[in-house]
Amino acid sequence: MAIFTTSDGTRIFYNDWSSGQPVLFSHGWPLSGEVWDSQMMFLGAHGLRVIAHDRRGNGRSDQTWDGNHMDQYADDLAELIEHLDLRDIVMVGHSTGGGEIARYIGRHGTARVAKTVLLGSVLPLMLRTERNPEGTPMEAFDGIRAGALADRAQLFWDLSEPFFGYNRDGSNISEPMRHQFTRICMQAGIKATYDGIAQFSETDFTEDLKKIDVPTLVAHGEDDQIVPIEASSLKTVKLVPKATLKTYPGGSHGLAQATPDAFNSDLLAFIRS
Amino acid sequence: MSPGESDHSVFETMVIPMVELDTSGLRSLLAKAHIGTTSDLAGRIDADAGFVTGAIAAVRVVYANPAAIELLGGSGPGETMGEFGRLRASGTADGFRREIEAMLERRPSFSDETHVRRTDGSDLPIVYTSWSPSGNLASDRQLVSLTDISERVRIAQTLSRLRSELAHAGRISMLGELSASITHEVNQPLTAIVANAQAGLRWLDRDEPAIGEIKAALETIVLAGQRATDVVARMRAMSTKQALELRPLSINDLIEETLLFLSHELVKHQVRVRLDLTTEPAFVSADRTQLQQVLVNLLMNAAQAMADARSWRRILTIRSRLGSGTIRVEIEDTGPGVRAADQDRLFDTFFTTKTEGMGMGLPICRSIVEAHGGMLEVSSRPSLGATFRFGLSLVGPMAVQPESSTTA
Repeated sequence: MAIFTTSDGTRIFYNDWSSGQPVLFSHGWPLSGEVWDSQMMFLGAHGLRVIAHDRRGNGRSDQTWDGNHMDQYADDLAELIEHLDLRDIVMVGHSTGGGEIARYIGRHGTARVAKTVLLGSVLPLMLRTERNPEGTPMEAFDGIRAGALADRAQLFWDLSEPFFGYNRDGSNISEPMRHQFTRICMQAGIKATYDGIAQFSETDFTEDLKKIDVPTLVAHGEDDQIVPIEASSLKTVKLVPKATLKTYPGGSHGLAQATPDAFNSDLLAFIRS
Repeated sequence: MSPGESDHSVFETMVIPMVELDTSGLRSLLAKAHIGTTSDLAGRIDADAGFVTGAIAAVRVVYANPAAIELLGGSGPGETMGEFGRLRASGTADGFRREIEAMLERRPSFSDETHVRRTDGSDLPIVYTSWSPSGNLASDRQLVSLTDISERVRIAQTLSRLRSELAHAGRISMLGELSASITHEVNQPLTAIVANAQAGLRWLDRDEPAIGEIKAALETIVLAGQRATDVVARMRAMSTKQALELRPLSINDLIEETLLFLSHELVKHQVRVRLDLTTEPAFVSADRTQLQQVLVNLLMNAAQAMADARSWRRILTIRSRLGSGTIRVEIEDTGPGVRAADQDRLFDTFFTTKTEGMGMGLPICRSIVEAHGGMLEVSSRPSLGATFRFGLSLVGPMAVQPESSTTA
């Protein structure tokens, strides 16, 4: 059991496998490092060191009442990176995890970072505002908050369908995958789950993105029903100086788990380029 | 003043048209026929269909004020006085029957919307109010005021016509919004027709033409052609401009047909439909085009609301439930819902929460539902969705529609 304790006494669970250049994974809301299984097996077997932590409040980490916000997530990550003395890191973030990486770089810079991969990320801002009309209106997030309080098992079960694109004609629905998704989500504490919604939806990462001065792969499923591509990656690629865009036709928000092959090889190719 | 005459000086200068009736002849007719109650009257009318007409003939107009003479036309009182029947337009006997009932029940007054016949033979819609100086109608003298409501009737008819035109405009606008879907729905069978025809020609070109394959291709062409024809027919039905035509129709059938009409749009908005319809047959008296317009509008609103809000969960539930003598239809979505403050204004003309909305759809829907005798209502749990509901009276499947009244 690899546990790291932060300066405020929060125990963060992480897996640290294989050896080589470190690839550090940041998962989405309200999941855990387990979602990166396919990538970690693949890259670990291709001469890379793979590390995935569970954000505070999520997965196997401690559940704290306070501290469930982007700045703290970024600082927790910074402490883990320093604890393991990681250098030349490839940071890979999914959804909210992309925000975690952006805020880390915004607060701590890219001294230890070689490259970043932002998959289906919420960047730069999910919330619909006057200057962000393509975004998602607040009512949608109010609805998620209401669902999280009323019956979050139902919320996650329902969410698993559009998450993996299982509501599309001709998709290969995996019931066990939906159960797995729901289980991982239920591991997260109620407070972290609730607080996390505002964090991923309302945080404006525009200034953080401008500070990402390393090669960045901006990847997104074209049929992502959770984080629509128009408001996110299509904008991110314009804000990050050295960014390239890679989209996956028919790809869902959960493509790294459901249809990982193309992404895995793109990931490896990017790391090695 | 001679005995038996009323003092008419007060009425001479009144602007309200007034006549005075001598109903002594009617009262002795009723007494002779032993009619003392409304059921006596009913029995007598059953036996003698012309009784009420005969009763009218027993009443005499003994005075008409200048305002009444002007209303009824003619050059002097002579043309107005005398037979009461001359004043009454044809087809108003039923109203007089109710006036006799009011007399039998000794009511103080009687009021009715009806028509009078003017001296030139034309009909005028009026409010007819009769009362007696003695305090109840069971006396020999009745005073009647005649209030011209032709302007009001004209305005109501114009309103009805405008509502119809507005509803029609709403349908045309809706067809505009759906044009991409409609084009797609027509293109699909057309593409199938061309592809199958080409395949058929290829099969024909062989040394031994494959008759079986050609036949299959032709059968597919027939089916595809039928589908395209159906789409066009639905579109045509939607775009007709005609007055409200009420017929018995099955609510569940209409709902399912509407879903067929919108299937492409619903897929486009990534909406899943759940049907929760009553299993018993349920017929309402409705104008098919207009009621379908309401359903299309509500379903499209729901689909657009969920898509616009990027809802992760987009489920549209359509329910039909039998009440006592009514059927309730509910359309529920899992979109952002409607804020309490907006709920009251939702049906106001030109109010819209859509970025590109005109705000006419819901007012038109409410107007149509009201014209069908129902009420369109909304309830919402903010952020969890909205439900639109209306109820209509049930009729038998073969119900014959009653004739509409002469006043609008």
